[in-house]
Amino acid sequence: MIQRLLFFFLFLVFSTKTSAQFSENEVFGKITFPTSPKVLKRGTAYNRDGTKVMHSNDPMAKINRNIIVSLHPLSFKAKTQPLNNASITQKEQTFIPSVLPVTKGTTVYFLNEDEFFHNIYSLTPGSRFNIGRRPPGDPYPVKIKKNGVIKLSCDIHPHMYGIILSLDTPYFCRVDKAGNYRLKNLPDGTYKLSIFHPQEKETTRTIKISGREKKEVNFDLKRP
Amino acid sequence: MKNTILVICCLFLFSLSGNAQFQMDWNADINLELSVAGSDAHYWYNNFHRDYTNTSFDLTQANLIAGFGFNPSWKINTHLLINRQAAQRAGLFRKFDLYEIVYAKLNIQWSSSNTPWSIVGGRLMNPFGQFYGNQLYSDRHILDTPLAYSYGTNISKNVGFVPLLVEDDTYSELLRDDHPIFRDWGTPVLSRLGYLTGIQIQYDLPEKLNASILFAKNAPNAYAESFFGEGWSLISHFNYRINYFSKFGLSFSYSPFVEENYISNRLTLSDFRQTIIGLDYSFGYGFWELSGEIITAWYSVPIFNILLDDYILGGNFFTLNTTSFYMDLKYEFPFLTGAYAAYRFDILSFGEGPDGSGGRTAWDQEVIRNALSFGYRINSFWELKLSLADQNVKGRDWDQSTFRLMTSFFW
Repeated sequence: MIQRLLFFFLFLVFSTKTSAQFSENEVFGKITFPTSPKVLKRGTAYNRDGTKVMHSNDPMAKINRNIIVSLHPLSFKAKTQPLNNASITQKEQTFIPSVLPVTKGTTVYFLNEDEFFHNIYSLTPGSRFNIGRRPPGDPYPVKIKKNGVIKLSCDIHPHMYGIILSLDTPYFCRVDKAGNYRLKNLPDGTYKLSIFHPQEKETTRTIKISGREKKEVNFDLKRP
Repeated sequence: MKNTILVICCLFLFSLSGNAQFQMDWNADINLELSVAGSDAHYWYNNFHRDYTNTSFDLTQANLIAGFGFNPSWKINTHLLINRQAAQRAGLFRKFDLYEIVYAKLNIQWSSSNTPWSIVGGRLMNPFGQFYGNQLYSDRHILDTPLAYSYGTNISKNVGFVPLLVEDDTYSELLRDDHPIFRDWGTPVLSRLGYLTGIQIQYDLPEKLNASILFAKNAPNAYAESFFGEGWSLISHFNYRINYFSKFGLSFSYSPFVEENYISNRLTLSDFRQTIIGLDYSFGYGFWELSGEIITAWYSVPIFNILLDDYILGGNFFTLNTTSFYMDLKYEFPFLTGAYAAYRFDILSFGEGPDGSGGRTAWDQEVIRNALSFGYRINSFWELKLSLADQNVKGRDWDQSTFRLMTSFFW
């Protein structure tokens, strides 16, 4: 009898703890962003090696697929782990994707899918690196050691512009082509909800979720 | 005149597109320089004005390159350049009249994604070789311009070839003073700025093959003073990428090369002809890059007798030739991101020409230049470069060393 009571008590404790740690809160919504392309484009007038400037039509090179939504816990500390299989491709003188969200400690592989050289480097303070000229099909690893925005450039094609967004949270996602996002399995708590757009200022909002809540948060990034 | 043409072009393009989506692609830079040179420096020899060899801090050059796209096929390309006249240096912002504002590029371009062919007309970049591809100082890892693009050989751009002009001290005053004819002595193989007025047809398979043929109103070695130059030139460049780490180009140019206003009325512009063939190459791997050019030029010129102040006619046309070679080696330090070291070996040698007394001798003195450069990119807008160069002109004990510390801001 005592053993049965003990098992029942342990089961209660375990199930209660599990429920508290892995709540099924959800945050979803839609990001409305500017649809008109940027009129002024810096660094796009020519290539340093005299070749023609190219731009990829890959969907992941388009601005609307490179908006990142992230939730940063304010009421507890979230553990982050390095991601696997994080990579950025260079194709038709374009970084694909243009924005890659990762966590600190992730190794990002740079893969050249063009038939010519790129010379990828970053001059972001604290995250400076230069991978030199790497041949096609030869992934080159770079470990991300710092949180924040890490800007990528190519020394040969100055119009190429990419970003590694190193986040201090495991809760993030990329919006779909319609601008929708959904973050699941969020613990109860207070968060800073952040929208990263490569051509706009960061937009944030503080939200509180608990008890398997499904919260809709929409953003309108259109210029006034 | 230029502005009018620009406005007309703009209106034309607007009218072509009912649903015009304007876009401006642009690059810009500002280059400031602390410099000092040896006592025998000269604008024609090493792009250093002989009156400004002392230490000075100046604006070297500022550029605004912009492309205005109105629809997918039509584009206007411009390059506005602020440059020192004859490499004069007088201290930053002290003498604005030493600077010239040049509309280096102003052209209209048609291209289509459906065809590899395109056409450009107006003032445009010389397609010859590979040096002109690096239009901004911020693109150049060595600050000095290669000898083939800057060194003033023993040919007056106004009268042609004068035997022994640079060897004979008799004429030294003519070279140094503001002589109405000889002030423009010293013709480079190709001009340093490299902008011409004409029509260019291009065939482009991106990053694989590029062929250009330009019919220009200027000679490729003429400095770009006038919007409409004199004498048609044909310049072509064929560029082929063999594989991901190597690229070769072949260039050809044929043109008259002096200014029509200055030559004798017994001669025509076609009496002064320049033919140039060039091979350019580029290899790169990891943190290394090797590139350069071999350029051979032939000049067909009448001989000018400086004492008679006239040409020696009667079939006295000579063919002079010169060959240049330069090799740039660059290494980026992987342990110091943004830093590099570069070295250039540059040589310009001359064939034989008449010595003015029935004999033959090298028509100008061989030049060898060694240049070393270090650069550091502080951030994506700001770079520092240190460049040291020394050149040796055969048979001369000249101090033509240069020290240049440049800071470039670019956008």
